[in-house]
Amino acid sequence: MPLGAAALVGIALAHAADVAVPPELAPLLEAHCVACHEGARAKGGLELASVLASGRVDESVLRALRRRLAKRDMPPADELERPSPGEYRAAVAAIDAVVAPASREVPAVRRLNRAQYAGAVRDVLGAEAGDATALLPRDEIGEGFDTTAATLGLPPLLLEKFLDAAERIAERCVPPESWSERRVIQPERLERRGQGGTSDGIAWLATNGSLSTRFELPHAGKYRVTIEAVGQFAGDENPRLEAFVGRRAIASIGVAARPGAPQVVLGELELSAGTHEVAARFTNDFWDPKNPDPKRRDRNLGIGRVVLEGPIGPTPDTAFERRVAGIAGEGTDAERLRAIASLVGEELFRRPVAGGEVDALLATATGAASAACPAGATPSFDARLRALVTALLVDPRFLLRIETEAGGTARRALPPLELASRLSFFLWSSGPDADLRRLAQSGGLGDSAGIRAQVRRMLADPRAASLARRFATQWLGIDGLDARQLDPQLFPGIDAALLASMQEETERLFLRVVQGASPVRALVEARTTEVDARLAAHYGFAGPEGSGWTVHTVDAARGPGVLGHASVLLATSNPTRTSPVKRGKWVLQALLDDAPPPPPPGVPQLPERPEETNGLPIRELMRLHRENPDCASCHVRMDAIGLAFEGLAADGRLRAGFDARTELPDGTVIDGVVGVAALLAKDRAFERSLARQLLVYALGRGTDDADDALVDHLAQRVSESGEFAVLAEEIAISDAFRTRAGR
Amino acid sequence: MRPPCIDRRTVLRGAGAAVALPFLDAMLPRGLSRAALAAAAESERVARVAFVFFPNGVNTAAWLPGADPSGMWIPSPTLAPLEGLRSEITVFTGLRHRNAEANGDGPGDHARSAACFLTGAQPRKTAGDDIKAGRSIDQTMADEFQRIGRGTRLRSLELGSEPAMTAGSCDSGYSCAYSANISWKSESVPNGKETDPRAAFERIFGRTGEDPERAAARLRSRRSILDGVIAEAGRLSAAVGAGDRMRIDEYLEGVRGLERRLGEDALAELDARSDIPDFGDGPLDMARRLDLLGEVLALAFKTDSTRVATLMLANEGSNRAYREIGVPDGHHDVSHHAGNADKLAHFAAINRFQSERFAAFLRALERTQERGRPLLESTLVLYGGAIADGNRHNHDDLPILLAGGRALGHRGGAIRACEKGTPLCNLHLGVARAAGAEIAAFGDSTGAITPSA
Repeated sequence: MPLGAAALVGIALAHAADVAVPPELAPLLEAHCVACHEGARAKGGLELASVLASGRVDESVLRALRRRLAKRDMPPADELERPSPGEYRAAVAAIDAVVAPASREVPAVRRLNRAQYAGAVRDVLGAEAGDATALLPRDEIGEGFDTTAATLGLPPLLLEKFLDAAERIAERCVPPESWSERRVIQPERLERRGQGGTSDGIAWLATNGSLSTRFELPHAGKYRVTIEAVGQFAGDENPRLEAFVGRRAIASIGVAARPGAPQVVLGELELSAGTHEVAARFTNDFWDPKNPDPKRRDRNLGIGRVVLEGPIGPTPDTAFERRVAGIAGEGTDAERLRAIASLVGEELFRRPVAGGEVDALLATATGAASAACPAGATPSFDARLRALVTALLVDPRFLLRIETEAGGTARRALPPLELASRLSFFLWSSGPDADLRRLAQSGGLGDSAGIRAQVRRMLADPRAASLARRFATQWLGIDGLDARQLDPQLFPGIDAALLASMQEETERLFLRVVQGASPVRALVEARTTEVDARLAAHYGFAGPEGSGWTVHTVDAARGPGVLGHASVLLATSNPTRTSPVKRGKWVLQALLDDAPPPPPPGVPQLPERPEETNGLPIRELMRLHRENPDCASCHVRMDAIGLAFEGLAADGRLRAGFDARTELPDGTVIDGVVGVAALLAKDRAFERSLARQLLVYALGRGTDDADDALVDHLAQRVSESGEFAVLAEEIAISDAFRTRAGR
Repeated sequence: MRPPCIDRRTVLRGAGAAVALPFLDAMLPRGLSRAALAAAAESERVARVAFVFFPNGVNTAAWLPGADPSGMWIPSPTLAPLEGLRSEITVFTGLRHRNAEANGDGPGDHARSAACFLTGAQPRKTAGDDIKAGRSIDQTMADEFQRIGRGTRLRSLELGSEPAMTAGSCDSGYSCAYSANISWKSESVPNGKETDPRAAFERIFGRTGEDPERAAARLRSRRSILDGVIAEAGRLSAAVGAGDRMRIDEYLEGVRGLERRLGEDALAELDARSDIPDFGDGPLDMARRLDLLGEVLALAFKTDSTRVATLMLANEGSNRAYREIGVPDGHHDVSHHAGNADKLAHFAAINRFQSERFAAFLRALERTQERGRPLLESTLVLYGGAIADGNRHNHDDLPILLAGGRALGHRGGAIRACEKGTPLCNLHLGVARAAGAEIAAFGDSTGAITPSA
């Protein structure tokens, strides 16, 4: 982030230590800086003439200068005389020799974020544990990502959520015998196909159609479905109700009951774990407006509550129960629980659990299970196992990642198991698997080659999809896209499902890059994309049928890679129109890591609605915007890039009649999104942006001056190889990743 | 043959089984719940405080009420939904949060507004590695209540309509944590908030629909679980350096708080099933969500489950479109109206919608009786934000209302014009003291504004 003038002044007033101006730096300041930064009217409040005269400079001023010179954004790009790349490098090195570059270290204790918690639960406890993210609140974001340690606080509310989640997950993984839930869906919550309304607790179908709802079942088993039905009568038949669970018919009856005294349609059936739809269909609508008896004219079906209960009877074993049966082997309950606590504890704590620790865990589990029993009763094996899982999931050894710190002041390699955890949370958003732990314990992570090999293995694993789901979506600003709103009047038919498909399109491209099927550059250069049926229809492609995804070549007018993805185009739009400013800012921030500073307060915004623009096209309005000197310095670049996307609407569809040819301040012509792609192809700024942001995600902290060299190195290596795996490897073997600073 | 344990029994009831109240007297140590509450109530004046926040400032012309000759305020378009509650509400003018201003930190008024609202502190401008604001007034009060033996089931209750944000930097280089929280546990730890009314209810009253015996068994086993992890966290805390202990200490404080609750009434008890709000099963619209959160908050106060609470009507800088009231554009976008008549109207419509939510909450407090008196009498509610004019982002002359609290000496109806620039923290301090929290000073307070004056 560029340092604002105010910040420079603020720092200069902080009276840090004075140091000698590095002799190698003085000529550069003399030649390129002093002309503007001199005297009372020095630009940005940075006065350098006196610095050169005295030969002394405040340390904080030197750091600020370093930041500018490292970014090479001073002198301004439109100055004729700018230092050569070599001169910039030498100047930064000269400053580093005098003042150690600012560095950061991640806190030694950090908590798992929501995605990491859910990943570990899924990997260790199996399918029945369900998606644990639904049980926890969204994490606060720091430095652009929810992996940032400093923002992952542990307020009391969150601990309460962790305890509640632990209890619920334990019940799903080790269900009490005859464990059962009863869920009631009120008529106004039913999803309707066909006409009608809801009144007095009855949802009416006035035409043939259906009322339905979905249930998410954690367990397979026998379930009881109850539907309350009433009718309104006409013609010579009762209204016909056909009840379905998924494709299975559970009833087909004529409904004789009237409002006030509904009849109950019951079905008992075996259901698998997963989502099931319960639907009530009305199939014999009747309408005779001429009938002399007004009560005989219209036949309608009404539905009251839909209730699902179950599983009924003994619950079948869950994946977790089957697995621990294998671990436990034969023996007494105590011996079996000990074996389970030892292994599951190791998996969740990411390190072996000592005998004494196992004793304590078992005592806790037995105590908790006994407390739940009536006085004098002995808790069952299942009850103790369930209590054990609950205890493990709220244990600080699970929820907190703790790295042991070096005693001295020097950097020190992380112990192998701690490095294994860093690797797995980075690449999998989950804990290390048995292979990785074993390798760590046998010294296999001791050298770069061993680490590289693990990175390769882990990237090929399905769990690496977390890089697409958690890193790429936050990097590209499309996380939680399904909650975005476009104006439904202007953009009809954009629902949460389509938004989810849009996000998945981008995740799929990123996953291809992660897995090495496409080079890193494909993110901004790919001419093909994957779409499902909804997206294909949205884009106007001849798309796939059914629920699969197919590869499609994108139109030339649409940008390559993510530049043409509806996810990004929608996330950078306002609810009612495109926002060239947001799109330009997005390119600068996400793809070039060169975010402009925010606008000063009181700056008027562009009109929101088309009818507010007094007939001026948006391009013209933005030109006026840029003529204001307060805005111009940043907007010239931002707007030029953003306007190049004008051929793509807020919902990501191609639109005709919009001029997408713009010009950068230096005269470079950008011809549509393809021109933006060409801009990105010019240098390594895109790779550098990806590298730095992935590093932030991996380390759980922001970067600082001391990381510049690493980021440059990463950008260079990924540019040369084009491989995501190389980038991930280089991060994993870097000192920042595999060592910790001393105290 | 071992005797069967509780989870061995079949808990499935017939199709007619009602949603069971999770509470059973048998779950509690006898004599602790209601009797204890009643005795405590007699020996002290029970006071509650809620802080209700809205983001993005107001359309000032539509907000500012007039006054009639007797000094009563006359509802403005924005405050019209509060007309029937006028005698309960004081309108404040002239209050300021100087630490929400830039003070050299440049843009970022939205982040600063939320972070400063209840802390009075200037938040550190950072994207996340070292967030810092200040401890908020609700938390200061909660600590004080605990210290003087007025601790409750929940130290405090944090509610809001929108979860934490998914974008990296929410406002000009400030971490999103600043914009999504008004309650700060410590200067570096925001409290987070509950956005699901049913989950908020279940924290206090237990899971709706859970078999009562199973609920009771679960709570009994919690103690052992918590004992185990507290011992373990203690060992961990001793093993790491002092500088790294912060998260472990947060952990310990959290689990100890949970354990303390097990000793008293683990769950609150409702008089009647009809008190359970109708949460429904599907998605909630904004109005319904906020009104339900308000109802849950009233029930929390009624059952003395907490005495301090915060409610964020939306996150600061929220750009939600309010289509349900005919505003298709984002809240933040219309707040920068630049004098545009349509935007001004839309902005005022959102402000009015918020007043309706506030009115609904006050009505819930009025409707809810505690020992025969409406809760509103013993509850002070501060309503407002730390941006005044949404278009200008100024932090002086803030839109602030104070409601309720007759039994604590507050009399509504008038406009109280404070001297321009009076710190809002003076009112926070006065509210805290009126509720019985003896706090010497707060934030940048220069004195206390007494609600009864």
